[in-house]
Amino acid sequence: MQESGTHEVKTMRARTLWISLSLALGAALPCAAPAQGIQVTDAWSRPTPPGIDVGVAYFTIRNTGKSDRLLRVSSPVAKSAGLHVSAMKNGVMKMEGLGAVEVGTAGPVSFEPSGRHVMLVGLKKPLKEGDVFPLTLTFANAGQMKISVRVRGADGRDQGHSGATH
Amino acid sequence: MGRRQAVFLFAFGALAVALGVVVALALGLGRSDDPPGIAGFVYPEPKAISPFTLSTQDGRPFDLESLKGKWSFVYFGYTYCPDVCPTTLAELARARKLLEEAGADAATQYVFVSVDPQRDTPQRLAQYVAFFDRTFLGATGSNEALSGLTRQIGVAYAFPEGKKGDRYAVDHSSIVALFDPDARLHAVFTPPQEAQGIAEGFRKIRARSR
Repeated sequence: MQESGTHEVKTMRARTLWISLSLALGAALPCAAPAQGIQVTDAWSRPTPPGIDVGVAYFTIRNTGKSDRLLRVSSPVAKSAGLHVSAMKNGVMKMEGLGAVEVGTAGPVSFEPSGRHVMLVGLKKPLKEGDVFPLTLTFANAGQMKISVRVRGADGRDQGHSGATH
Repeated sequence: MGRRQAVFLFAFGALAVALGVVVALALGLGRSDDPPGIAGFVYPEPKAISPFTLSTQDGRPFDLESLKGKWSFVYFGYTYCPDVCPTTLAELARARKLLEEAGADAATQYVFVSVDPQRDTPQRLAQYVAFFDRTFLGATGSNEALSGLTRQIGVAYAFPEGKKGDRYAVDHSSIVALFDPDARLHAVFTPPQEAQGIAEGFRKIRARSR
């Protein structure tokens, strides 16, 4: 019993260390760890207005490996997360669900305002400027990839980074 | 002078003339009655609007009279809109700040019209618009009241068929309509709206209509 208790504490310590390490890394590097040639950078979100429990996430995917497909996304901060696109059709802005998103190697695939985006529905608490939350991207080949999404100011500008890339 | 030099000089000269024309156009030295170029379009003849009645977030009427005596930027959307509406409202809020900083914001107002009155109660609208800018107005009305305004200015919106409950997206024209102090539709900023473009476009329009 004694031993298993110690073991548990050790595991806990190791886990805490691992979590703080990954948090530190996540804060230091805008990019998540590369998995099989896929890199996700510039992940950001907007703060949610009072009473609104839908949110967004934007990011850029670069693929230097084999062609892949982004199948789905999920986040513990929302009941559901989906791949959407806002697009103009006959002068009207429509938001539609996306199936899988091809992530080829020709160029980056951007999720950006008024275009492809992740829609978070049923946020468990409001997103506030400066918050960082996890988002898991599931690729057909590369598998799951967890990234950190930073909530920018309401104006969408990142105060921390000058010359935001978009 | 060698032939190559002559060709070079000619090319240089042509380029200089072309550049001059572009600069002149950019500075508005073309025909002064041409509508200024904006990201969207300026009506050659501002369009008069028939009466309509909506309500603001605090229950006051928002109608033709509310548009008179100032320039009004009016954007149409809904608060559950996760991407396009926050993007446009954030840019509009920044445009307002840019105009304020430039001292060019006299007699202006900014209005968010929700086309989703079922979910966007006055209270929700109030919180929503204030989140983007404390000076922003929110307005909405019944579908009939809304169409009294939207039809006149070419704003379309549609709800998904068989929508249930509180989770649905609304398709909508994502334009910022600019009304002049005579309550006429003067210009339309089309997506993607960007703060700098709106602010500069507005200053050009205003300078021209003096």
